[in-house]
Amino acid sequence: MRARRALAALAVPLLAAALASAAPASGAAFRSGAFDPPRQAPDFTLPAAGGEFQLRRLQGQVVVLTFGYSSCPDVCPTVLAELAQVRGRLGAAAKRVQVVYVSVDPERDTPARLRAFTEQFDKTFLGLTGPAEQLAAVWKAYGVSVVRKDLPGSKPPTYLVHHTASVFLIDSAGRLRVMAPFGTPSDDVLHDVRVLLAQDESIVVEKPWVRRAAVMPDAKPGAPSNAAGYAILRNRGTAPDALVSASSDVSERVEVHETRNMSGMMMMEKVDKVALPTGARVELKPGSYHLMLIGLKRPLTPGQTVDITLEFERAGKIKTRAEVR
Amino acid sequence: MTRRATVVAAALAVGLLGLAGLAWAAFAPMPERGAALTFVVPPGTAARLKAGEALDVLPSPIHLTVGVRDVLVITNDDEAIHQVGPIVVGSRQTYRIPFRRPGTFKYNCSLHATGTLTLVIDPPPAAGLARLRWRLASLVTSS
Repeated sequence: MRARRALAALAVPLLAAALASAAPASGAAFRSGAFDPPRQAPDFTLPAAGGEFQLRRLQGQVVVLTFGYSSCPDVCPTVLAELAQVRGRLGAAAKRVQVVYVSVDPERDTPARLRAFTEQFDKTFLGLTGPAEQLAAVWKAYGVSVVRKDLPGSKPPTYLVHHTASVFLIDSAGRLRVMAPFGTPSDDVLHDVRVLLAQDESIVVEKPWVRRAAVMPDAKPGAPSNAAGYAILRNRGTAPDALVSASSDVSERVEVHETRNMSGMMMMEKVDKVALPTGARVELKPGSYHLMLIGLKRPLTPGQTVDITLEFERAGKIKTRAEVR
Repeated sequence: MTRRATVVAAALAVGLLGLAGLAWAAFAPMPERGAALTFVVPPGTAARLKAGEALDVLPSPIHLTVGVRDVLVITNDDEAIHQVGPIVVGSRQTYRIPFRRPGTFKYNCSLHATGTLTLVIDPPPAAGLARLRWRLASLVTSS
């Protein structure tokens, strides 16, 4: 009896341990607030330099949408500085991201004033202002509350605008995916922007490597030599694609070849393209499709890496770094 | 060894193990992710609000604790779009947001009778008694 009680006493903390280790794991890809299922972001048009701005026309890019005003003393500069930092840390991918800043102060924010303000943070930021009622419709659609607070005793009379300073992330298909409330760490915003950018990268190149051709003992110094390149190509996107060409700094040219077995005779032929239907996994490997690096400009040594750029019909150019084996 | 000595040794071993377990429960790090706190906007909410019913669908403040219950989930089962604080949730849509840092957030909210939604994110229970109490409490609630 006593033993049983002792066992029970032991079981309590052990059970606690088991429960704690079985803590729910989060499978969510986003670090900030995400919508499920995602829906089209409310579209809007506002006046802009050289015509009219329409949100829908930014499809194909990831849009970072936020709200504020140029006379904002505290919150807006913080948000814009963080977004400039996020854009900076994206590197080359930043060109696929557009920051849109919509005014909550139509009275004071002229287009010129707003531009001067946003450009202090990043020249590519797009500041939008317009008639009060047109802006109010945008605020409402995104749940942004805007409350004007007069500053008593200020001369000349002035006011602050209390407003929601959330950051909205819209994917390249125009769907509102994330609403990050003010205070979300910029690392998390950066992470979520990267998640959206990665979803657009339909073609993935895996395990690229290069095999140098055997060097013959009687080869004349300086004689042109070739190498073969291999990789796994995946199409994770929703549209068929194809590898159409390749290039590299280390060789005169790169061709896409296929090794064919013609009644026992192995033939190597140049091909125009390697088709990559949706969901395809095509391996460029010895005895099959491969890249020929023709006319090496310098000898390759095992362990070093060479940069090869692959060009796809839809996905465009993708740079890879292949190891020489 | 006598029978009595064996029993004493066994009891000591069990007691020590128990103490070790308690010490673990009091000082082991908290899980990185907590459970979700889910609020559902039920069907017909928009119609009831339109009819002038004073609805208080959500409590205020909403309390979350980092590492314990730190994911806020708002599911809109109504036909209409609803706004909860700064979150516009479409019909049959869910918004899910994890919190990893303590803090207090206040938002305008028409779904609250007070007009304000307050979110309080509490820090995880500190190592020692608070954590032990939390582990024992979670043991009781989950069994």
